[in-house]
Amino acid sequence: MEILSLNLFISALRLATPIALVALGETYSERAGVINVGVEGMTLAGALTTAIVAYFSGSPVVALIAAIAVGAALGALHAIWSVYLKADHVVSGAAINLLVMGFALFLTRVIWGWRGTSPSAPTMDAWILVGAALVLIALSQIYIFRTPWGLRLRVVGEHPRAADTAGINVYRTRLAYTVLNGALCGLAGAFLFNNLGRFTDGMVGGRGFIGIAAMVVGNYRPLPALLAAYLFGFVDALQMRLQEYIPSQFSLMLPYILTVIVLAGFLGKAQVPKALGKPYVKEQG
Amino acid sequence: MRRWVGVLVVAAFLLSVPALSARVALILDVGGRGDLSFNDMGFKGTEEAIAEFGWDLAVIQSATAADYLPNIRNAARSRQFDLIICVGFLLADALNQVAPEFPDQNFAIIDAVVDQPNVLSIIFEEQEGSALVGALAGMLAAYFGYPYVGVVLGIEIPVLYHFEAGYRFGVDWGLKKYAEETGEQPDVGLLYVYTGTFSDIAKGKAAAEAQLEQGAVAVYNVAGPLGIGILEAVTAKLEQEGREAGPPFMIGVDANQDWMGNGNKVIASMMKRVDVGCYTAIRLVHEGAFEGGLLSLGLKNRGVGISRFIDLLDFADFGIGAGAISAEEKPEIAANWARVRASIPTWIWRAIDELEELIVAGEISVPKPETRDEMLQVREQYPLTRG
Repeated sequence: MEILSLNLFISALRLATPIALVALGETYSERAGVINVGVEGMTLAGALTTAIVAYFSGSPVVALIAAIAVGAALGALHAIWSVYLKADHVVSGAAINLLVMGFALFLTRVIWGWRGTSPSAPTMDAWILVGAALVLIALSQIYIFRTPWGLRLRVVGEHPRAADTAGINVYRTRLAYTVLNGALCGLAGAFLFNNLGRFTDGMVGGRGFIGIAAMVVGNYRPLPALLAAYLFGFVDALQMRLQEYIPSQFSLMLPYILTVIVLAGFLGKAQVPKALGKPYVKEQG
Repeated sequence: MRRWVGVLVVAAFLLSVPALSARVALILDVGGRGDLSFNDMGFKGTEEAIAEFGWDLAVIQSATAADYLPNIRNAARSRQFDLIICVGFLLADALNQVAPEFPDQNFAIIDAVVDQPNVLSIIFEEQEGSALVGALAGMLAAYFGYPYVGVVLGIEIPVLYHFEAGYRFGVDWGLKKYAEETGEQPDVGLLYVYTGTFSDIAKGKAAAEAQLEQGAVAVYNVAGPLGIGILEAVTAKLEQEGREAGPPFMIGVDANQDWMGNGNKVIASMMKRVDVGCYTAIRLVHEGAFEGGLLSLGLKNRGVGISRFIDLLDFADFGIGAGAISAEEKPEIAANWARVRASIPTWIWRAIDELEELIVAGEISVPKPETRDEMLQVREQYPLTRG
């Protein structure tokens, strides 16, 4: 049996794309100092929006734009809670996850009378979105580390007071990149939908959380995060071809175990943005 | 005198209300209606039974797993129901707790065993039906010249071993049958994957893609909703080859899924007749023959089986009712289905009937492993590797 075929690498790329997109979004928001564990829900919202809009408009392109917009709106919601109202970032993100999951069941039932699933709807070629993801990731690597805007972004996450002193609006920067994170999650959700042609409430399946892990493995840099996501996708695709030799209970663990090993071993010291998760208070005393 | 008549009339009326018609409660797990599978089938069988016997029906949907216990208990406490049917193994623990509290209440549970004197546990011989679709898959691979047959499974739990073992047995039987009929020795292997999920449809698609790319003639869906992903993979593979009808095919599970994919991508379904289970339970109560215990539904009492034309028509109506397809599409789907089935030699279909008869007659017994060790033995006995 041919295990290491070209198809394996292609399949891995598809499995990796949504993870890499989430990882990219999370890189942006965490670089700005905002932890967003709501990515799972934002991705689900993206997929649901794509399904609804594609179903009623018949246009996958309009659906894609809508998914990005809804993701961005949820990003804004998270930013309002965590940046402006200074709520705990993790609590706000978890709330968004729960909110979207409940909404998904509610909307599918109201719209189609089904519990958590949609009928099939028009799709675009998922490969377009794979390509878009790769381009976005490459551009982001340059943007974050080679442009003045990227420098400002990093300063806001490292030392918001210094950024403030230098005239950078910390709140607005954090808002913008959290919105961007949401938009990228929306894109990841749109990919998931276009990959299958229909929505189900379990379709994100932890890819949002894996995306956060991929970002950490990638040490808050877009390209290494892509590699981490690809590694995960590759091992996931590989284990499906190995179950004849390894019991499924173990082979299914492989992608996760590998992620943990890479996290713990090969990474070296993670360079966590210093102000990550800390609300910024402008005036003190 | 007149007053007494009035009192009597009122009393008679009050007494007759509960006796007006018998009632059944159908308690669904979190899956609920609209799954086009398990729950919808339970509802279908129940509806048929109440129409035939003149019963009333109450459907109780569980929103979360925490609702199972109160839902069953409240239904029993109301004393309104002649029978309470719990649809799905998820309800087993809750029922096991409630059943002893109401020893006079009749309960039935589908697809699980609850060992209480007032509970009828209805289980299915999945391995028997899986053997039939396995034989079909094996013969299809040999006939169309494909190197593999495939099966994508959900979480590795014992009940799925019935499916895998039956499928293995069937593929092996089919290959032997093919050799016997044609004199050629086919070289066909089995690809199987446990995806570890019943909800992550993208995984179902990826798993099916891996098998199709290696040359699987059919992928048997033993992961419920993941069938959507499997069908998507089959459709993509066919598109890539510029064709509309299989091979490769999907093989459906639980419900009849033949109507999905325009009728020409799902060659057959291993039907687990939840409807027959619910119907039978109500019939037994209606006839006064109900008693707790185990009712095993296999090929011989039509509890499992390979899908036929009549099932296609029935379940296409399901799809129409749920809005998955439109009524105008139904004739085309039926025509596509008939064309695909006709593209396969009659002797193959006859061979499957023969296998069914042999199993029903008890001349062949299909392995039914309950533990991992027993499953490993079956894998050893039917390794189905190529070359």
